[in-house]
This record gives sequence, C-alpha cells and structure tokens, in this order.
Amino acid sequence: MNIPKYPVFVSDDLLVYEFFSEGPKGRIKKGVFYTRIGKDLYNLGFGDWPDASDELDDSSRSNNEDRDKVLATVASTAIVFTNRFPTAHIFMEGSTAARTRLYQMGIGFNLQEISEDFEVQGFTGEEWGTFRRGRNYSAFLISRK
Amino acid sequence: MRTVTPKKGEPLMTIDPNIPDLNKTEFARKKAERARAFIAKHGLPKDEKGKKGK
Repeated sequence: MNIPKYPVFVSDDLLVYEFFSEGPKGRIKKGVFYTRIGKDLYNLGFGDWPDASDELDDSSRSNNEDRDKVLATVASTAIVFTNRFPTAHIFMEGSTAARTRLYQMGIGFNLQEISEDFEVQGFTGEEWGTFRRGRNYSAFLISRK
Repeated sequence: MRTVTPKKGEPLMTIDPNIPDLNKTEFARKKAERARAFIAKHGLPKDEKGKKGK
C-alpha cells in the first residue's frame, strides 16, 4: 500500500499492535489486537490506548487529522497477522454506528489496495455480500486471498 | 531487535515482547462476546472457508 503508515510495535505472538498517531491533538497511542472467537475466526479490536492503562477506548474520536494514515496502519497489521495466520478470517464491528461508518470509509478509501490481498465482505443488515463502495454495512469479514 | 514486515516495500514492524496482552483485558472479553453474539444472530457468509454460514 502506498498510503503513509506509522511505525508499529507488535507482540511476540503477532496478536497485539501499538503505534502513535501524531497531529494537532498531539501524540496519541493506538492499539490494535486480534482475539480468537472461533476456529480460524478472530475479532479485530482497535482504539486509543491511554497511558498507564491496559484497556483500550474505542469510543473516542481523536480528530488528529490523520485518519487515513491511522486506518492504513491498521490495515498493515492485518497483513502481518494473516501472514502468520493465513486461514484466519477477521471480523470487525464498530462499537457505535459512527465507528462502524469509520471502518467502512477506511475500507472504501483503501479498497483497491486492500483487495490486492484480501476479500472483504460486509453485512448490510439483511445479508452478507462482497463489499462495495456506497453501501452501508454493520459488520465486516476480511479474509486473505 | 526483531522485526516483521507486512509485505515487500512496507515499513518494518518491531517485535516488542513487553507489549501488554490486550487479549487478557475486560475490554477484549466484551468485544469477543459482542462479536460472538452478532455472529450467532446473523451468521457469516455462506461461502466462507470452513462453512461457517448459518
């Protein structure tokens, strides 16, 4: 992917990732993690990671004017994760409708590059189908091609 | 220092064994529970590997 990304630190097991968003609001620590929820099925968690806390906050909006760089960085963690777990499917659902919309925008914005490596499906509220720009989804499932 | 890279030409990621395991947090437990509930209610794409559909 050609979109700039932040330097990332990753745990030994390649399940937990951290990086720092940098912008007008300062330096904000972010966390991404993959939780096994079934056979070859993982949930992607993402949010701000306040200092001195072991818990993420996925309800805040940083407004650090680097949304695309942050989302591209999250996407790069999915590549590393699926390099290690190539048969894994990644489930994503925002904690709020706005958060899910943010994921949708991020996928849509990066769709051409994401599609080089992944199949992306979205749940419309009635059924799952191949992700298309301009449609609204409430959850996503991403699989390595 | 050990590193991994997403793909050729991408920035390296640094492996840090001291990163807290977020998967052991209450936040992770709640997220996993929420995801499982969603999947139990709506299923997954029927053509997914592993035949996870409803």
